[in-house]
Amino acid sequence: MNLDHDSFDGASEITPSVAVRLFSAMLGPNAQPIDRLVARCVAIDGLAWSTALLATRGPRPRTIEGWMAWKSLAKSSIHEGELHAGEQEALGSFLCYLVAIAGALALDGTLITRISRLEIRRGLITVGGTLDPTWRELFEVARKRLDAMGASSEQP
Amino acid sequence: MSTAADPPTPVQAFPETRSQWIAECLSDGDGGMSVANVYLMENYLRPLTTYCRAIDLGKSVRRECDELVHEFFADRLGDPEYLKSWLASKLRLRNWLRNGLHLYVHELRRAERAHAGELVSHDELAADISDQDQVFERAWAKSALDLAIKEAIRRLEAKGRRSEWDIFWLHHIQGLPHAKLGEMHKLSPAQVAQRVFAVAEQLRSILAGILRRDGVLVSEVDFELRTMMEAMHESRP
Repeated sequence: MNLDHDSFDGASEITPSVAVRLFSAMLGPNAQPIDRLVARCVAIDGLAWSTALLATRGPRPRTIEGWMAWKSLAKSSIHEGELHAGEQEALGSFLCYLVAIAGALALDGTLITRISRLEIRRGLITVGGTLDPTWRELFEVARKRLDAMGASSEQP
Repeated sequence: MSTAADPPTPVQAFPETRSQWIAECLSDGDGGMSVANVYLMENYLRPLTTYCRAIDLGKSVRRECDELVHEFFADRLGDPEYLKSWLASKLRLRNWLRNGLHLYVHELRRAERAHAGELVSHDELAADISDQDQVFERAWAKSALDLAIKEAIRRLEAKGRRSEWDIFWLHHIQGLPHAKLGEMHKLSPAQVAQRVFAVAEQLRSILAGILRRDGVLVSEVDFELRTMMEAMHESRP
């Protein structure tokens, strides 16, 4: 039984992507933008959506300045109200914003945001795991950088 | 009035204190302890067994995982002090049981090695547990969600409203819009939205009830849902 396509009868095991969508549904109005973005990315067409969206942004920057420009462009398209309402366009811009943060982190460990490390880490894990392998790898490298920074800042 | 033997009820039935239901069960003597133990077996047997298999925990003591977890429950839950110790621990019940399972395996190993004249260190036990956090959290999240889904479907079917589950599923999992679902079920988009919301709330309420018994406060439910969501994605180190 393909649980992504059939109604669930309670007798089969749920897949991780279905579980994520159900958790997001249960959060309801309390869902944060990152929860809504994750739910969008794990929807049936989520992978195609995120892949196509990121492909329109052109080649990956190779400098921190390039990632900062990505971030600025994405940020200028994010309207808070639309983002909290889960509007697809706003979620797309939010995804690009997160990719820019991941890209800079992966490049040389630069943090180009003042968002807390905990929030960034959560975004890298939950969103990164839904993307196609090349972007997933970027998010994974970024997460490891972030974890290494956390570990080094805990040194006496 | 609520009694310790009541079946699990929605989160609204519980005040904002930890673990009250199990505390009530334990204060009811053997009968209450038995109710609490049945609840524990129903809710924690599967995630513990899944976890045990994922990390091959039974191998070191030459036991099948189902056998090992059953043995663990039989050994610990017969002792009235075991759950009382959990109440004093401030740990989530799932973590208490998981640590307890590791400790049980440690004791089995120690007994076997003592028989063979060898030593087992506590460092070894701590390393076993800390390396496997995410494996257990994922098993727990899937198991708790699965139980909540089954209960939500059961309640809707009991009221002859199973179709509302299907509408909820088609919207949130298949991504069908309210208007399309309205055409399929002869409802307005607003009525569909209302049903989808109501089922989501019911599912949340049932899952929150499971979490409450695990030791989660009402105010922590959203955080816990996000943590469970994250556990589904956590990449391996």
